Amino acid sequence: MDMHKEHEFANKFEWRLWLSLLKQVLPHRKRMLLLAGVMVMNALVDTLLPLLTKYGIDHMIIPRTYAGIGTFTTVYVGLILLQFVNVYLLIDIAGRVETGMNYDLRRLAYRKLQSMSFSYYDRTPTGWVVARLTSDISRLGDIVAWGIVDLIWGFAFMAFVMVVVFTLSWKLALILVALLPVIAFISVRFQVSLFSSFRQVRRLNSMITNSFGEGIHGAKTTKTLVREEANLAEFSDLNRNMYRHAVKAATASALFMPLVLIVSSVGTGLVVWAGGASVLAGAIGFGTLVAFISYTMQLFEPISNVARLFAEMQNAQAAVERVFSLLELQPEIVSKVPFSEEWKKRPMRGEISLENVDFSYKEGKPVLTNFSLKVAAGESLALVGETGTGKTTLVNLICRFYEPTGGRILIDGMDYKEIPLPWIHSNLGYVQQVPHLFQGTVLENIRYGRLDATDEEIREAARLVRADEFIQNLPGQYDYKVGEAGNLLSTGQKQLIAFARIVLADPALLILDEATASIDTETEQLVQAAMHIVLKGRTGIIVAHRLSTIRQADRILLMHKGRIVESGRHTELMQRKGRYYELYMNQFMQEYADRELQKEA
Amino acid sequence: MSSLRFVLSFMRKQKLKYLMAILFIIVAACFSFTTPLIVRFTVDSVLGGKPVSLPYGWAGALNRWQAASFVRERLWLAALAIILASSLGHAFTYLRGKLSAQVSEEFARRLRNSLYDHIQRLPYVWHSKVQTGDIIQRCTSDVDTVRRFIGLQLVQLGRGVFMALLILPIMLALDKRMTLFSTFVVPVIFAYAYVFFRQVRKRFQAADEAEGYMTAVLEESLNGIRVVRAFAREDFEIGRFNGAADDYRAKCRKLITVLAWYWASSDALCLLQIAAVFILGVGLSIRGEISLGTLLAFSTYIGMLLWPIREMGRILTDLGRALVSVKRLREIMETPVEEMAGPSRIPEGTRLQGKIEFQKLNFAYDPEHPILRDIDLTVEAGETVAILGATGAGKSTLTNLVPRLFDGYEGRILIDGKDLSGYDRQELRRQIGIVLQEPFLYSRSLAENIGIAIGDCPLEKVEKAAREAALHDAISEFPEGYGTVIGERGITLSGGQRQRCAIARALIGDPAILILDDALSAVDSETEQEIQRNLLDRKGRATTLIITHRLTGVALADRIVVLEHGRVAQIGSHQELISVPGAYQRIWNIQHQLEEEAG
Repeated sequence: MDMHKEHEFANKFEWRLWLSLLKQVLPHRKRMLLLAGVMVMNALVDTLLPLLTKYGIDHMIIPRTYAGIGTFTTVYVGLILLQFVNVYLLIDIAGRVETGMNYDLRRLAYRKLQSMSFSYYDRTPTGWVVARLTSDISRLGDIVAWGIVDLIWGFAFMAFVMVVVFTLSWKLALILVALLPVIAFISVRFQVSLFSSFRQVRRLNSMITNSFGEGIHGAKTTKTLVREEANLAEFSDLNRNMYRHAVKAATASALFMPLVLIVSSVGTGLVVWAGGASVLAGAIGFGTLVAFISYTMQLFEPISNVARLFAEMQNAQAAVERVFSLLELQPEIVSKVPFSEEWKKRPMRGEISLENVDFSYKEGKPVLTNFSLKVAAGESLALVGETGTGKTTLVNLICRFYEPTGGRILIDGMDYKEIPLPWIHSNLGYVQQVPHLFQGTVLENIRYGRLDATDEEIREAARLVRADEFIQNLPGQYDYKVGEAGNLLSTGQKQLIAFARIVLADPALLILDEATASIDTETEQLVQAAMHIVLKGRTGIIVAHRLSTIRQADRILLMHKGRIVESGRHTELMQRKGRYYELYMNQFMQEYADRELQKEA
Repeated sequence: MSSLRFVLSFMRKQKLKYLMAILFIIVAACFSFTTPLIVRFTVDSVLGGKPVSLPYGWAGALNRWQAASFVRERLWLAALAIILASSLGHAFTYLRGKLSAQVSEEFARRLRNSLYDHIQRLPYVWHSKVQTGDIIQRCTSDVDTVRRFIGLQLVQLGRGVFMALLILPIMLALDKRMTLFSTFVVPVIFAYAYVFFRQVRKRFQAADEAEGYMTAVLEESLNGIRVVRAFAREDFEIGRFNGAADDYRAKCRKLITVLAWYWASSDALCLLQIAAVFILGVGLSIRGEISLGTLLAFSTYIGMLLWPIREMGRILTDLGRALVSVKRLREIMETPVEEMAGPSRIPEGTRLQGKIEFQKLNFAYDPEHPILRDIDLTVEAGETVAILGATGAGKSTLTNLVPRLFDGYEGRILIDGKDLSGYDRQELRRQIGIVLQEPFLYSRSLAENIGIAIGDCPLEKVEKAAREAALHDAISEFPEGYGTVIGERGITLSGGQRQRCAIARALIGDPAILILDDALSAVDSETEQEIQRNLLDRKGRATTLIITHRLTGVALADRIVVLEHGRVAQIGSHQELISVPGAYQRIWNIQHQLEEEAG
């Protein structure tokens, strides 16, 4: 877990990762070339505009002649129109590269995620993954696309200006050259430290968000504990800290531009001084002097842009690392056998056998040791026992969401590592405690069981599990939108839809995790009946919480600390008066009590 | 206007700083106008040898002192003047930035503190109704929107306005025709920016929504990864995600294309204005109507005027956003808080007896659906009462009334013979240990969580409470023991462990009244029995209300109350109730029957 928390601060700058990031630009290289061309044109126009001013002064104002003003105007307007096209293209193309790269990275990452094993999802919080695919990737696309823009423009502009100024007057040009290192020094120093102080502010800001979250989520508890003042005191400490850092960062950032501009003005002053003398001496014209003044005022821009880019890259180092750590993941469960046509046609009988299976999530903490179990095809098996006794682990192993660390698991008599994973999953049905539905309509959710099912087949499946009855009462019926994670439906309704999904998928093996939460009596009966229907003719493994389910099972396995402690039918186990009896009396009485109390109401 | 008052109420004693910031904007603007004038003086008079011409009679003095020829001998003076003016101007810009940062951050700090304080004191009912995500969003991003508006955008707006106001008289004094010619694009560019950003907002929203949808698809497929796998729907999901990502890309592109159009066209508009002024200026110079220096000054001034004005148009569209944020924040701050104080004081160090009387108690959130009806119940000091009832029977409502988590009931509740509504809420709550149905633990160490109700709690006490809640052994297994941090920043506890932690937290203060609201629902039966044995040891020490729907939960109780639809259906000891027909007897019989069935 730790690696996913606040792993924000990578210190070392790794070129390797940035180079692999740059490789992502390759598919867009034509655009990138065009963009580079546009940037060079853009820089050229930026360099030419002061020269136009110079021409106007030296060739028209000073000699007092209108000659050539028509051409002058045409060229001026032409350059502006050219710049218009340049700016449009530069933003549009860079935007295309940026969004294109983001899209590619997201697709790659998502594809990788779909191939990852369950152990990865158990270790990794969803929020962490989501942040990588959204904000981190956006940031990389932004840096690469616009960074290249800044870089090309910066160097092209600098080069053009240098050529021009040295041609005009090498003496004055030296003043500009002398300024460069000063501006570069200030820019780099500032940008780097600014980024790190803003990062500190962002960190504090996320602490404030967490603190608000805790204050709001915990408000009721806070009231009962009379913690209001103490909480506020802690919050205002944090808040004061935030104030201090934010002001510090903002003040430093407010200093940067003025400082650079003051340095530029020193350049202007020197140019006026030395250039003025040259004008008096007749060595250069007024126009040249004016052109120099405007170049000194613009010179800081390419430098501070490039400095900002490097600071940004340094700051985004952690983001690159995180994104590539995701792209370079290796799935732990790899299906060696290809899912051939032959396999696709082959039906599963649903006979399962675990032979001396060992398993642990973490080394040294075994959950199952030397575990053996045989389930006949078509048998329904109820797993009972307290939480944390390995029921879910057993299910995970049978589904091959995880693979055993020792021993083997056979399906239809074959070691399942020798079977294509998709074959297992396409013959497997799985219903969770609270079934997961996707945003969308009821129809789409049922169709998830078999994508090519017709609307009529879907209705038929829903009728079979009697989900049809409540669906008919929904506004829009089968087109009813179930909301985020299906939350507009009750747990019972979600289960009925999940059962309909199973009917469509028609798997040989059904895994069922029963709901612990109480469902209203009426739906409960529907769910029970539906479960009975879907279990018919399939191998069923049920993590059971309800009496009636358990009673219907062909066999009950009572698990305790990773072992089967009792196994048999309900009546047999009750008569044994052992653990099962105790569990039954304690835990399942609650169900009765609930029902009785409800009855009265 | 009340929005303005709301904002100003967090800026007390900061207004002077803000005014200073405005003043500095003006000063900085004035200095920035000086440089072009110095250049003009240098070009025209020092280098060009023309007599100095300056508006408002400034020229006379300079000519009298023969300033131009004086400087001509010492050109470094011109350089110095340029550097000085620019340095001073930029120094004030820096100071302005520093002040506005201080003011806006101080504003945000105060606002956040007030929000935090206010939210904590808002009534329980409010907390039950609101969506926490929305409230957190308001406290963070809305505060930030307003802060940025005050600290950056408003300052930029002010700068634009003052620039325009101060530059005009100077330009007019230099040359009226040039001024007119220089400014005709100004209103156009302002309106263009304003209208454009209002129009394009829809595209911003569309892109935001597409991103939101993509994130939702992503989250959903990750959360539902088991379903995806079990149905072998990886390719389908990949298709779905690609579709969402593609849509987001398309929306972003559309947005970027219009932005590209805007920046390109508004740039071109500004450049054309600059070109037009220059070409006109060239004409006027050739005819000798203006000097070269004046032309140069105008060229610089237009730039100073145009770019900030273009920004202003954009910023004005943000004003709406800031106002919406203020409105959302006011909604929170204007919700009335719980009145804490009451006339019946409980002096520190005293302990209530713990006798609770409910008399003709009725309660309803809305009159159509009464929750509690005509409850008459007296719980003696030190007595343990179990409350049994179905979901929605009103159990939690009844017990939550005791610590005054909400009011608004009819009838009377007395504690130690005094009316409940007279008690100071906080003093009363200190006497009550309550474990809520879904206990919240703070993101700090286990020791701190358990001892949180009493400041500076010694570890022995924490351990004792943890033992009573059957949590000590589990804690000892953690590598960092009681120092283990839980929640966001640390490890996740199981549901049963959380409940036990909350029980320990409630027991540690030795409360006069103990309320366990279904506090053992996630605890396994062995641990439950252990906790019950521990609670039995301290029986009589506190008046105890236990909400449960397990029969095992009533073992401790002196009396059992069966609630049905908000009414007391049955009261009595276990022995009494099993001999009276009713729900309790039926449940008991079934259990009994099952035991016999098993033989």
